[in-house]
Order: sequence, then C-alpha cells, then structure tokens
Amino acid sequence: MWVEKHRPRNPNTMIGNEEVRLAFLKWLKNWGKKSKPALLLGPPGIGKTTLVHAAADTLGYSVLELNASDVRTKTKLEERLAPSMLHSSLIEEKLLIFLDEVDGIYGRQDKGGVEFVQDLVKGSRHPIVMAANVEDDKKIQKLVKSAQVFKFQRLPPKLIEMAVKNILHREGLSLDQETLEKIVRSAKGDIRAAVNSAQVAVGAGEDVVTDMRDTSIGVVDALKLFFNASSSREALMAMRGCGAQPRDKIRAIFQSIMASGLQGEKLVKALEALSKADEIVEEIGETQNYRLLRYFDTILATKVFEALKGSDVHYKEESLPWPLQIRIWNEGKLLGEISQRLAAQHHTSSKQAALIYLPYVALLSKNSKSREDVVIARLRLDESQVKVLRKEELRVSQEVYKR
Amino acid sequence: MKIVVGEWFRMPPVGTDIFKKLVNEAALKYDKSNGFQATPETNLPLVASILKEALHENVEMLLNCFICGGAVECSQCRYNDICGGSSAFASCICDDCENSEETPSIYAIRFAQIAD
Repeated sequence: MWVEKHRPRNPNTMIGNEEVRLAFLKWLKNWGKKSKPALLLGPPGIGKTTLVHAAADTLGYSVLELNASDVRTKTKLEERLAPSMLHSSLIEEKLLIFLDEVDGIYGRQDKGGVEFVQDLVKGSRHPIVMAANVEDDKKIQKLVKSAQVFKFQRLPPKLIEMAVKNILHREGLSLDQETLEKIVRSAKGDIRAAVNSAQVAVGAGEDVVTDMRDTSIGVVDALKLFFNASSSREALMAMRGCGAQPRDKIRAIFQSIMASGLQGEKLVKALEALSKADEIVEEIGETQNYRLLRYFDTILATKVFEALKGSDVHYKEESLPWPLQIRIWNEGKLLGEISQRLAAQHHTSSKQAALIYLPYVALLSKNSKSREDVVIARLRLDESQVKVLRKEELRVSQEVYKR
Repeated sequence: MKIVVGEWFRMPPVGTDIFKKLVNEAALKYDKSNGFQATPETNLPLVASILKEALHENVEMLLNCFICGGAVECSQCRYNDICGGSSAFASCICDDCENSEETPSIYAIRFAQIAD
C-alpha cells in the first residue's frame, strides 16, 4: 500500500503542522524522567502516528505501540505494558511507549483505564506519547492537564496535492489535474485518505474515490459486522466499507481467530483462507498491481467467512499476550522465511516446517555451535534471520526445560 | 487590510466589544507590545468578518510560503473554498513554488534547516 510504502521515515519529509512537528521533536530530544508525557491531538490522517515513529527512529528509540481503543480496560493495558514497564532493564534500546487513540479508552467499557494511564504517565521511565482524535471529551481533559499537548491541524490542500503528486512521480504515474483536485478536496485535510484515493484512482478508476471516503468505517465495527454477518454478501459489505489497510484487516481477523480458541481443522482452514488474502497483499506489494485489491475483500468475505461458518469466532478485544504478538508481527516474517527454506530442503510444506521441523532445528542449534553454523550456512540465513533463529532456540529450549 | 497568518500586526482602535470578539470568539492572539497575531487556532473567516464590519474595509488573510517565505494569497487559491474553514494553517506554498518537481525536497530541506 502506498501509505505504507511512502510513509515518511524522517520528520523532515512529512508535510504540514511544521511548528507542532518542531515542538514535538524538541520535546523528545530533551526528554527526561521529569518531563510530562506528550499528548498529540488532532483529526485522523494528518501524521500523528507517522511523526511518533519517524521522530523515534531518528532519535534512536524503539517504539512500543498500543492502540488504546483495542485495549480499553486497566487489566488489558497492564497485561500489554507490564513486560516493558517492569523489566525495563532487560531492554537495551531506548524505548518510547506510544498509546494511540487514547480517546478510545474512554468508551463505555472503561474500567479503570483512565486511572491506569494517569498512573502510568506519572512514574514512567520511558517517554510516553499519547494520541487522540478529539479533545473536547471531558475525560481527555484530565490527560490534557497532566501532559504537554501538541495540537495538529488538518493539512493544507496545496501541501496534500504536492505530496500526492510526489508519490505519483516516484511511482512513475500521473493523474490529470481535475482528478487530483477531486482527491484533495475529498480528503478534507487527511493525507492518508488522499494517498489511498490516489492509489485507487490510478488502479481502479476515479469513480471509486468519493465512495471510499464516505462509507469508511473503523476496523473494529467492520469486524463486528463481518463476524456477525449472515451471508458472504453481508461480510463483503462489512469489509468493503472498512477504510482500514488490508494488513490491518488481516491482523485483526487473525487476532480474533486466535483469541477465540478455535482449534483443529476449522482453525487450519480459516488460517489457510486468511493466508490467501495475505498472498494478494504480498502480490500487490511486489507487482504494484492495485487492481488486485478488489479481490482482497472478496477472499475475506468468501473463503475466510465460509471457513469460519458455524464456529464461535467474533471480534474480541482481548488479543494475544503481548510477547507473542511482538513475536508474531515483528519476527513472524523472518520465521516464515526460515520455515520456507527448511520446507524446500526437506520437501515438505512451510506449515509443517514451521510447526515440526523448526523447533527441532532450533533445539539442535541451541545445544551445539557447530550445528548452528551448519544450519545458518545451509539455510543461507542473514544477520536478522540468525537473530530470530537464536530467539527461537532460546524459546524452544526454555519450553523443553519447563517440561 | 492584509493579515499574514503567524505574523504580528496592528490595527486601528476598534473598541472593547470588537476587541473581545476578536480575542475571545475568533481566538486572535493579543500581546500588548507586539499587537495581534493570527495563529493556527484562529478562526480566520470570523476575524475577517468582524474586522470588515468594524473597519469598513476588506480584510485579506495571507499565509507564508514555507519554501520562499513570500505571501500566499488565499483569495487567489483554487482551494480557497475548502481551506477557509474555522481553522487556519500556519503555512502553505505559493503558486510559483508549487509547480517545481523539486518542491517536496526543498520543503524537506527547509524544515530540516529550521529543526537544526
């Protein structure tokens, strides 16, 4: 997706809100244990999250990100944050804790989440950055008092046009001025929407541009509709109406499936169907054939939906334990690559290689440096893959030790 | 009267009521020694309408071009109809600067220079 591919990695290459960007960079550069947490306020799609990641990257911080609207209760927040808060000495890197969408905490399901965030920001040994879309909520005002507030404005249309043109130029594509202006107007100061619309306009025709903006619903609502749908058609409507990125949809469905405790053949079928959708996203990334996007939602609504039929999977706020999530999303790709190479060597499927072969290989490597060297050489693992293999070695040996 | 957003300016005496409207309702910043300043929080259309009525003259809001520093005349902009809402933007780019392929790079360099 263009929004990911062209997401600025450096605060300098972002657009708009110049003064706020400068102020936030200054805050992070000068951060000390007595500093107040940062609270970024402003409408969606104007670069709050991008700024946090880009600034952290530039200043050498690792980011622990939580989307607070998915983790609304005190217990859930504690579960996710405790590992980093309690064991900070084990984490060598500089860590920045980013609570995105803190306004989501203050929903009807709030059970001490507000107080927990307030306590957390008081005693943190790491810089804490919160982001919210609204500021008029009374409860957000509680946080405003104890934080350094950075207010973001919608982005000027001319700057959005400049950024979209720049992306099109880098992609070797172009749009006529009329379509471009329509995209900018429709985006209403939201660069993410503009980039998405431009991508769709280039790949799937300009007529979809306005539809995309008007019908967009959040991933949580879309998933609730998806899992409660009575037909594939209803499921398709839910997915098509969701403005989230394909990867976010896959991730959310995956988390819900895993959290539901689904097992056996049903689980395998559901994950296989989900992997088909993932393959499409991968192919789009490789081929830049964005027309394939239209098949993405269809696969979710047919193959995944059909695979889940009759099972009790629905959207769940509680997701996988924090360490497992980190492993899956940060290391999953590398583990997948290792498994694929193992699979090729042992003439088996990647799934079998990941489930059965990899733990044994990891355990054997853990116990012998020379065996590890052989594995690294045979599988032609690079530095990052070796790092993940060693973590896998540690995890497997700990599991064996426990037993 | 032309007001450049972000720059301090002075105006003829307008009376207490108008002053209160400008500062409290339109969020125009006031400082005794510097005068007035329109910030990103300022409701620009409201400022323009209050001043037009009080001073009996047209008030035009200008933004600074982030690249060349020149004034950007919002009234001439093709996006003026959607940009002139309740919130203002601290900066923009002028017509001359926007048409260059180098603009995004120059914009980034300008930001980096200020950040340093």
